Amino acid sequence: MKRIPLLLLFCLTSGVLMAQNYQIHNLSFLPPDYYVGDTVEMSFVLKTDQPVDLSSPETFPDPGWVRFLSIDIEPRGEDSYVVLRLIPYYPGTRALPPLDIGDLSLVDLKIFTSSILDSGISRELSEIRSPLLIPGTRAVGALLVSLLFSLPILLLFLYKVIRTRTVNIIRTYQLNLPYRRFQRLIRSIRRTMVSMPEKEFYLSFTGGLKKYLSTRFHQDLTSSTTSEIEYLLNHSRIHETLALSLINFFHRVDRVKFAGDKLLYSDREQLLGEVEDVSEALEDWRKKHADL
Amino acid sequence: MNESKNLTMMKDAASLLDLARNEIGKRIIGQADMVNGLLMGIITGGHILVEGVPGLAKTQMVKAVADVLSADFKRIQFTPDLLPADLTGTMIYRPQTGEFIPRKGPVFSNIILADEINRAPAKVQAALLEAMAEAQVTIGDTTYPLAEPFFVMATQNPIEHEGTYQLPEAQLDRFIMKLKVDYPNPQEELAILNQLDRREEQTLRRVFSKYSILDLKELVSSIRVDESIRKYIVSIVNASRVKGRNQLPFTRFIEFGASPRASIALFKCARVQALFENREFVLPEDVKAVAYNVLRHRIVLSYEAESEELSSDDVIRDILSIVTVP
Repeated sequence: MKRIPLLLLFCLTSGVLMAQNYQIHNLSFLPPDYYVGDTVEMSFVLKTDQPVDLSSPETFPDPGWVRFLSIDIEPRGEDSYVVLRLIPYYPGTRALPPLDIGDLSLVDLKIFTSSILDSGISRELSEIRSPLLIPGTRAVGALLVSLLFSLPILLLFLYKVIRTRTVNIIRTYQLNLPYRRFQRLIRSIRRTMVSMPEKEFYLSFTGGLKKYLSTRFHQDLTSSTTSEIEYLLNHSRIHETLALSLINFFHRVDRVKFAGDKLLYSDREQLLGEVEDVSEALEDWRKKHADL
Repeated sequence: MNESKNLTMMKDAASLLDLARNEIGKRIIGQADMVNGLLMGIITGGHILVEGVPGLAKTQMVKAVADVLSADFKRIQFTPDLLPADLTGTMIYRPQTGEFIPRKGPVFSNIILADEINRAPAKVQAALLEAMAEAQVTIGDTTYPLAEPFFVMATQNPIEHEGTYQLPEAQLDRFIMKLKVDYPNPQEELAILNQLDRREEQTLRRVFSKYSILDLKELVSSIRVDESIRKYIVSIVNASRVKGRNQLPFTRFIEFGASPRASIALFKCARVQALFENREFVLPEDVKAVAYNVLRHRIVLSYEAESEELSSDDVIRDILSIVTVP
């Protein structure tokens, strides 16, 4: 009677030992190179010495660094074709935990998981970062699409900027043109002053000054008398010193033009200088105060 | 006349004119433009046409001027039945001697007020205007020179045209200036009422003599008018004659421009204006100041101007705003 349990224990132990004899052939991984978090399909041919009864386990072990998804066992004659799907979460070579598949327990199955991180980099987890792109998009595509959408807006913006700048440049040029013309007139008068008759000098000079002032006061002063100009200047926003300088100048020139007063050659030069200074001051005033 | 004496005389003349204005002001309130116009007319030797509604002291004004000038004054009321002889005079028969003797008309005075000149027929107007132009009148076979100074102030009413004889443009041209008299402002009218009782007692001082008028004329002739001013005057008058509808903005409003008489009148009046300003030379300001009075009756407006209700003054303003001032 005592021999029966002993016999049973021997049989069981020998069965288990026999069942542990298996060989793995044609081991392959799909994808061949896989990284942490990738779903991997591990397939191989299981050869055993004796016929065994194999079946998928009801539950998979959970070591934490790997998650088993499924296992398919397909008999092929005396052998079995096994397909194991798993997701590794740890880089490097590691042995899978034992898997009970019926009469057999698969042990010492090793997988090598690649890592996108350099080996020298700390394995510490980094802070969570927001995605660079919407998942599923590709950088070049996204750039192209955004460029396609933003190009008209960019062009419009560029056109507006260029147009505004150009208009401002033209406006400034036109605003300063009368002053430059007057300066040119003064220079030409200065060049020809020696041979110029007195009356011609004063007429051309005051004519030019009136034209210049007309542009600054938005009123045709070429048909205005000194009294009318005086009234205009006194009622304008320019500084009284400037106004007074111009008024005195016109009165002095009137005496030369109409009363026959004589002025020396040096007085002409002085007058030109004075008017240059006054016109320069007037320009400064205009630039500071948009409208006269 | 040397320059220092000229300047002294200029100051004397200015003070004399101020004195005359003050004296006239004792009787006439306001109307400074008309006073200046009358004095200008007398000094230039021209005649004045005054346009204004009745009751604006036109007669009083000319009487006051005559008093200040110590000159003879006659007022002639122009009516439709007036004859040329009523103005100039005629030959009358004297039974005692059996001969015709001339009887001079009211035109033989220094200052004449031709009241409502447009109420008389054309031949009467022509007789007066001929006397104004020639400064002489022929009665019978003898030609008599008119008094010196000889000044006519003609008036016309702008609102009553019924039963009037419009002065022809050629005759209007003989008046050196056409003055427009307007109503006094309320302050002036109040002053008129305040001095109503005293006005009759006012005896005006005789500021001018016959000779001082001649001196003034001589002084005015010495006032310098630069070549550029002369050209400016000519430019203004020429601008009124420009043909071609769109050549200048105002050309379509002018039927006939001003004659060379306008240039002469502008020249003379600008000189007197300079005298009024106590200046021994003429400025463009002087020309502009007298331009309206001198050109007003010399520019014939087109129907377009009338349809747009533009006056001669509007057109003159446009002319002055386009002609370059020297």
